[in-house]
Amino acid sequence: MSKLEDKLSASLKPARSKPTPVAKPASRPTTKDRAPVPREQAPAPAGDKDDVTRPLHPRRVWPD
Amino acid sequence: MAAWVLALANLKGGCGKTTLALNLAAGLARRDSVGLVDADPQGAMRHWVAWGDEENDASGDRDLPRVLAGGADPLGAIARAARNHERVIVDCPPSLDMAVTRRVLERARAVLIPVLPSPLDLWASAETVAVVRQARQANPELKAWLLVNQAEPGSALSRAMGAALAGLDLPALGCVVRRRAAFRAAAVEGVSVYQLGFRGREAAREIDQVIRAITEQE
Repeated sequence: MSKLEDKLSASLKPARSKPTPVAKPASRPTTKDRAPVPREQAPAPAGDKDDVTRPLHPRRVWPD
Repeated sequence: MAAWVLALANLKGGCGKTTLALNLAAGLARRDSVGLVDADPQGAMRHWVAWGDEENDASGDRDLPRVLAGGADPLGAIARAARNHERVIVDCPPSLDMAVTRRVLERARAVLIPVLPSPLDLWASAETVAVVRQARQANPELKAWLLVNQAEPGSALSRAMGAALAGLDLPALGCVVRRRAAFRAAAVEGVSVYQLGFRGREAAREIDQVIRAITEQE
């Protein structure tokens, strides 16, 4: 057996040891499936993030 | 007598299922009554034949069997084709419709799995072999073969594929189909390689070999 044949055959091992494919992939939840988030728990709008308590840029620390 | 149903299946797309299905059907139709079922929602086979009807005179010299669309109900389409023909060829969909492929294989007499000479196709075929194994639980008589498709004789990888396929649990058919412009030219013209005359001679010879290898083991 040539080197290439050996390599090709050996490369099959992970594919063969994979679990047997299931009939249908589980359906992903869509945005419709998600429960609505109450207004008070909803993340703050982007405009509110840049308030005075949050620096606009990370502080740069120089090594001594 | 129940029709002989052959499925072309591989969970990986682009391995030549449609091209082989259509040309095998055309070859078999030279001696038997053949129905084609397009179970692939992409509908490439229906397009191929419809294009052939448009491009060539529909009443002219044609050897392409009629295609039944099986997208929504492949088993129903197979049953309808089986009532009217001795042989039925089914073009199975790629991986998104794994359940469809398994149901078709539970109904088929045989399955041919085209594998391109590439590691990616080899690895993907292991999953298809697993689906064959599942289908055999309901259909123990299902015959299955691997077939190296689009082989390039000058390529070391193509030559190595034969030995590599032995690592899968299904037999290889014993012949290969080479990568040939004639198969693509046939699609361009909406015909099979048999209708290409001299240009399709070698491709048609290979399809005949595949038909012989399969029907000898019926």
